[in-house]
Amino acid sequence: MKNVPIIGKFLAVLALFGVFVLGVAFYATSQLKKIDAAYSNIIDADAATPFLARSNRALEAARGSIGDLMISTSEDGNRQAEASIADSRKRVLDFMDQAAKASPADAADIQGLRAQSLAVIDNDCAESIRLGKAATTPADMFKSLPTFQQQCATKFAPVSVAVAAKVDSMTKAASKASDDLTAVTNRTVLLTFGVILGGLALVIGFGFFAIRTWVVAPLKGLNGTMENLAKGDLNAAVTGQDRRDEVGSMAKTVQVFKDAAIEKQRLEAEAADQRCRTEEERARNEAEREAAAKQQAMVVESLATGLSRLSDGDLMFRLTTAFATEYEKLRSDFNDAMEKLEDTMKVVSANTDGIRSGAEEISQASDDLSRRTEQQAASLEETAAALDEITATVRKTASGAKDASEVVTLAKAEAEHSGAVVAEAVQAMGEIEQSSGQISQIIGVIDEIAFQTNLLALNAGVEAARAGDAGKGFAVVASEVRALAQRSAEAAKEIKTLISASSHQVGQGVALVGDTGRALQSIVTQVAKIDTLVLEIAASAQEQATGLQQVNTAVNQMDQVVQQNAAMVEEQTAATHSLKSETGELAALIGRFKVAATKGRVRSAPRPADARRDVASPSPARAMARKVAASIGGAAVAVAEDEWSEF
Amino acid sequence: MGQPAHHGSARELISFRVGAQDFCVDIMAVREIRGWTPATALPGAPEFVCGVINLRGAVLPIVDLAFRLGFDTADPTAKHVIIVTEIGGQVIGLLVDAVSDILSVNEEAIQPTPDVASDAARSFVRGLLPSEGRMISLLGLDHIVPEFNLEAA
Repeated sequence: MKNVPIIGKFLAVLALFGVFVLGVAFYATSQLKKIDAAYSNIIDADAATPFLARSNRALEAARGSIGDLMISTSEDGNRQAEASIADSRKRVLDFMDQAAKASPADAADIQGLRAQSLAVIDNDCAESIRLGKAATTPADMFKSLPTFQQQCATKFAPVSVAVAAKVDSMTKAASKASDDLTAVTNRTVLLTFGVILGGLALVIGFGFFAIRTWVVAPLKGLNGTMENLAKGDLNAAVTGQDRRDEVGSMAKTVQVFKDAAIEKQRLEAEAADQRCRTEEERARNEAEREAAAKQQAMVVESLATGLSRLSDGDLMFRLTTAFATEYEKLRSDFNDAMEKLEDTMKVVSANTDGIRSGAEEISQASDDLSRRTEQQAASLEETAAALDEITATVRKTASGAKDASEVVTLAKAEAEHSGAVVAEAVQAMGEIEQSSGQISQIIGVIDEIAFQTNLLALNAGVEAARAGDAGKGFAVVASEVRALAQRSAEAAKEIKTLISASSHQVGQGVALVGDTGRALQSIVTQVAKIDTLVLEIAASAQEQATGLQQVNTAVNQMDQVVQQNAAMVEEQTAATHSLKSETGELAALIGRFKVAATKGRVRSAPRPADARRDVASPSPARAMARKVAASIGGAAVAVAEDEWSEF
Repeated sequence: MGQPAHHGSARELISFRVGAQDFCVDIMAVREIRGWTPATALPGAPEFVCGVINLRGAVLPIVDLAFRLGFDTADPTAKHVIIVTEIGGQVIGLLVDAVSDILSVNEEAIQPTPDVASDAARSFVRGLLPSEGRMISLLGLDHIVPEFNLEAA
């Protein structure tokens, strides 16, 4: 068992115990199964007896029913009794079958009893039942009763007794089986307890010895070895290293401990030897260090002086005293450093002056730029305002042009209407002319009449003259008639003259009206041209408005850019001012260093500010407004370009 | 019917116009006065005869008095007038421009035709009657249509 792990050893003991427990359990189980089977039989018998007793009662009920049939004299009574007999017979058979099924062990006996009961009801009592059915009068009833009592009623008692005896025997058998089973159970319990106690004692004893031999003994051996090692006995051998269980690995570990202890002893001896040698060397070094310390003190003194001068800003100081050879490099390095620092400081000082003057210029330029950017922003605002005004003016122009177009359209309509009126007037004049012609004709007729009257009057005068004195009176009348005719003729002549003058004037009027019509036609044409021109004006005003909108957008963008520029210039100005002050500080700081005077200290004077750039330029906004107004009015653009270049 | 002579008393004259001149004849020589109606030309008739017209069934020869008196040939219009006269028993129509008036004058007012006039002229004009700044010639009808007279005689 050397190569089995400790847990395996424990499992071996436990397996033995398990085998024992399994045997006991198997035995107890088999006994329990046997007892269970015996009990099942007893319970079956117990279940069958009530069915037998019930069948016995049903048999008795059948007998009673047959008796009822015998003594019944009515048809109804007969029918009820017959149904009751059939019912009782069926129940007897059912209970017998159930009893046989419940207790298969007694099935044969029960089947015999079933056949017996069936024979009594179907064979022995058949005659009685037939007579009972036929007997409907008391006389018949009394005749049939002896048959019932002799053949039928007496047969029931033996069957009933047999059934009761069977029930009794079955009950007794069950009781005896129960007693036997109790005895078997008691015996089994005692045997089981005995076997368990004995087996347990055996297993425990075996386990105790096995654990002692396999586990405890090797651990005790190893414990002794470790105690020896702890005491310092490094010669003690470590046993059990060949084992492959946990004890073997512990033994190997103990061997490692033992080897480590041996190595440690060896190292301690070597360290003591080394310490001794180091002590000697330290003493030798001490002497050398003291000599060096003196030299070092001198060097430090000189360097301290030099550095103190350096901290005071004296860059012209040099170490002149020679150092020891190993420190000589330090002195020359210090002197070189001072020299280079001095040169650098000279250059820095000169450059700082340059930077300061440059920063001042930038600052001034920045101020100028800031001021002019503000001017530019203000000018742009004015530009935007002027553009708004111009836009409003152009809109007004457009709406005015529209109104003018409407007015012109009205004028055109009026002129066309007037043309129609003139045409009517011409027609009316023509009609007047026609009427004049008719009047002339009428006047001609009147003239003719006057002429004829005159002739008649003359003839009358001639006749009167020829009549001599008798015709004197007639001659006077004729003379009067002639005078009238002449007056008529004269009047007609005058009317004719007037009419002809009137006709002439009407002709002139027609000509004038025609001229008027032509003039009106010309006016209509001109008005149409005016309408076209006004529409063009409106369209161009609209285009101007669109163009101005674009200009406005551009100016707004310019405004934004200028605002951004102004902000940037502000920042730049602040930055240049801070740069200027910082440059001043830098110059002051550098001025603290004393350096050999140089000829290269150039301090450039700030350039005089350009006089022109401070002059406020004329407002470009107003210039632009003028220009736009001029361009709307049709002026040249050349002037504007000059102003923009100025801007 | 001969020319009536009422010396020393008023006589009645019919004045008329031919061309630009005024003439007059004795009223007793005038049968009637009528308007112009177109005349039917008479072939072979003298130049001063315009033609003939129908005067209530009778044929009436028409003399162009203007042509006869030596003026331009008249171009008759509706305004022209025919003076129907009776000359030596012959009824003749005289075409004149217009009838002016019936004048009632004394014999003394009629002045004789000046001697400077030729015989022919004197045979036409029997006398001159100044009136209201004009000069009215009194025609002697006998010589107006001498040929008629001969033919008629």
